[in-house]
Amino acid sequence: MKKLLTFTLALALSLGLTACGREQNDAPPLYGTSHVKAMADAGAFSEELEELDGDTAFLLYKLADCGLEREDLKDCAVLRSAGATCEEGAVLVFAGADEAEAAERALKDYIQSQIDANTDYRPAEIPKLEEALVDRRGETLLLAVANDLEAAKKAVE
Amino acid sequence: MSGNYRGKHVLQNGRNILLWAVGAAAVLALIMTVVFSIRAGGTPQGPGGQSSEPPMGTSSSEIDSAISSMGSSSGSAQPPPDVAVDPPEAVPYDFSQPVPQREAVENGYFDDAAFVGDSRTDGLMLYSGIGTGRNLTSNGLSIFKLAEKKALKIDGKKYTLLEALALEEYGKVYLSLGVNELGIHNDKGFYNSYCAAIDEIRKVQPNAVIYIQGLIPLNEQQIEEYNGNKYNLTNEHLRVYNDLMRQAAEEKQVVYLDLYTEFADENGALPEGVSRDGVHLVKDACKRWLEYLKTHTVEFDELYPDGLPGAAEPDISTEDGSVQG
Repeated sequence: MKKLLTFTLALALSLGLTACGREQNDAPPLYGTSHVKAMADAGAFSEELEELDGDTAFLLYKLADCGLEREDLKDCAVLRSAGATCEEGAVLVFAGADEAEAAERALKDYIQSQIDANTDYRPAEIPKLEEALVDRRGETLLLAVANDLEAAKKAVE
Repeated sequence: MSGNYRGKHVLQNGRNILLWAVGAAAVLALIMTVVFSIRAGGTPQGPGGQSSEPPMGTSSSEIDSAISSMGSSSGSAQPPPDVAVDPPEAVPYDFSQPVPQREAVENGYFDDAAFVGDSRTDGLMLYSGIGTGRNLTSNGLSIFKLAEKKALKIDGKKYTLLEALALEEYGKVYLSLGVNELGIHNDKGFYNSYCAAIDEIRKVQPNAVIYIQGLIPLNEQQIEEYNGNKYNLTNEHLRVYNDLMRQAAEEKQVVYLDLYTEFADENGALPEGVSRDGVHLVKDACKRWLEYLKTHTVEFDELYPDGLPGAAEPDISTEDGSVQG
């Protein structure tokens, strides 16, 4: 009886540890700046996009408005249309998950402001903006306003 | 006879003396003339004995300046203390001409600049690498809607670009509008709207240099391919607008930047590779635009050495009609 109890406890502990391990392994990896090029290479965008640097990205997405400092944005890769479309792809890497969470709100506000600014000007671009992907993983944040959103999603899987 | 002879001899001697005296006087006068000429600076005599004129293009002020420097270098030709010397008059700025090229300024020049415009200007702010300056732009904005379209939201409140411009003080205001209204053939209205916009900008930014940016040309073929040119954007009408903007700048005594000439090819169009849709500029072209702005600047004091034309005297009267000292 004692052996059976010991075996049962060992089995439960083992299963529990296995489950925890699986949970950790199942967590999607963080986004990397290389994902932006991967989206472009996958044909997610209908035109060649222009690169933006971190300073400009910080201003463009109004990250200061959500309480962030420029130093909070550790790294980034941003491709954006020069004006022909509203397409863009970005990966932003922050100092921590809290900063990324704040930036996620800023990016959603940015998308809404793009919808407001382009409803009359580029109405054909509005569906892309409405379907825009803003996704956070840990301290990283992905933005995709794409002509082919499925291609963008596959590229970052 | 002898007396007569003697008398004749005396008379002949007197004539000789007179001739000698006249000759000596003439020689003396000649010597004095030469000496005086040399001491006075020795202006070379042209053919026929006429003085040489200053070279063409030499202004009287340059001549005055040259004379002044000659005097000061000798150290001996100080003007009498009671003679007033007028300073050389400043040449008034020619508002009928585009701002000429000069040495490039640093990007910091734009720290106190506001950029009022449409999506093209937004591209300049994002892709040129300017890194400073206030972005007051709105997609699709036209000069006709500048004063009424609530295009910007600041701290949750909506503003027109002119209202937003008034929120801070700027040293330079760059205005670039006109592409979105190219399909509207109301040239008189366009001119009047531009003049009104300049008046409004000057009202809220009286100490700023106002730059009117001529429109960068279009690539009509690319526009046709992109959207069928449904808004009827043509370089022909763009050139008409540029002429009107230049006239408005002259009329209102603000400066005009000839960006059209900077970007137009031999056919008066935007060359291939500068834009992807025929209107908006790619990153390299935005950098070229910025470089043009950096090499075409002018200072407020150069434009208005005596203050703004028609500037009203500051109102120092009080509500009860008294005047403060």
